[in-house]
Amino acid sequence: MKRLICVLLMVMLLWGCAPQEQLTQETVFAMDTVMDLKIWGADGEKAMQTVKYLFSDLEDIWSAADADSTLSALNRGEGNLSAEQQAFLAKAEELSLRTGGAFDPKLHGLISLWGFLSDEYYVPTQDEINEALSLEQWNLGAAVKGYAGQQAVERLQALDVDRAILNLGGNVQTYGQKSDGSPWQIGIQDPNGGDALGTVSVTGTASVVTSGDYQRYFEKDGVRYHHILDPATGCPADSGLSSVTVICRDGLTADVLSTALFVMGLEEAAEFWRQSDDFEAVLILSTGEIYATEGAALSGCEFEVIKR
Amino acid sequence: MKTRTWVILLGLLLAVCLGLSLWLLAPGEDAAMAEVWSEGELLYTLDLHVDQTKTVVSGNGTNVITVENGKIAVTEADCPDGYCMDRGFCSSGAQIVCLPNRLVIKFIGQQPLDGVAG
Repeated sequence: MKRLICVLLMVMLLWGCAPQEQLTQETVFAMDTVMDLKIWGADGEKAMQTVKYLFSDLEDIWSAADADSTLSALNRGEGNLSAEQQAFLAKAEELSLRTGGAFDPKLHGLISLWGFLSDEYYVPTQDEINEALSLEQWNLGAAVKGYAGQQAVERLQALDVDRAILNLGGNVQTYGQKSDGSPWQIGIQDPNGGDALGTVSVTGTASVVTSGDYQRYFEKDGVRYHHILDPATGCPADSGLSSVTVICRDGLTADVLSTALFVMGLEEAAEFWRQSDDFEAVLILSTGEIYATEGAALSGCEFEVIKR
Repeated sequence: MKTRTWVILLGLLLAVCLGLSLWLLAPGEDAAMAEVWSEGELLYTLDLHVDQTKTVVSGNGTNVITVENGKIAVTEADCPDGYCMDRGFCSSGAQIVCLPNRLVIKFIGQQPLDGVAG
């Protein structure tokens, strides 16, 4: 009996000493943004190095601003793409078709024209816009961060990692389950600044991406021009929306759809969601009204539900 | 020692453990602290209950940080875009970032959110 109790006591004491899950955390500047990376698990250090290497690699390949990138070479008609790179472009084109062109991966000329690559902003004429649209050069700016999050998840799966939160400049990629089994709580930034506006609950591995008119813009002669360009007009999308957040298992799809739904506007975006089954969305109007699709699991604010 | 003594000891230990874990796991007050990072280095850990102003000069530029009424904001900046100031005063959520000046303000302590998309 005594021995049994002794053993029990030892076990209880040791239980208290069980190591807390190891957290590896780092903030890095990459892919023209700030990344806040948190990885839990025995392979945390290794995983951190792996994903940092991945992001720097993806930057070297897909940077639109860097003349030495693989993408820039592709736009000059030079170089060869790996099978993986070709698959990424093919998926982007597929999503462009799916969104009826609301997302266009070949807007490089237009984005440059407006100055969103160099930060030397310019309001172009219609002729200049038409010419830029005809160039059909690749620019994956609206897709590459979501793609990066998804690629990172594939790397994490090969390592001893319990869970992770990779925040790539406001593109949130979750991986695995929280230790207590509760859903991840991901805030949605208020387009007007300040703290988060509401919260979406997300289980397991998913991507939560917001596209907003406040993220990048410039003002000229009292008019505000934001960075989400409508491929149909060649001008900043004037859809009455301030931001669109998409929750999706697939990071690339989440990133692309957040842009595409922003361009579509509320009505068209709602209809697009009804015809899909792979994502949920939260749409914030310029007037401040919030709309969320039925399954978005939004809380912390008042909103209208978009039903099937 | 007698078995009963052990049982009592065991019971006491259990009670202490239970008490401790309840205390440790209880949701704490919002810590209301923020860290100011410049070019990857931690410069300040600021208590948001104390109104104050800090000027951060980096190799890339200058930002003025103001703490007021439990909130923090970048109130002056020489960066070309000014997005860091757009965020305004806040006390939680996404970190405040000035990308051109490599400035990051992070909220620390008990955070209700696992991340913020935006």
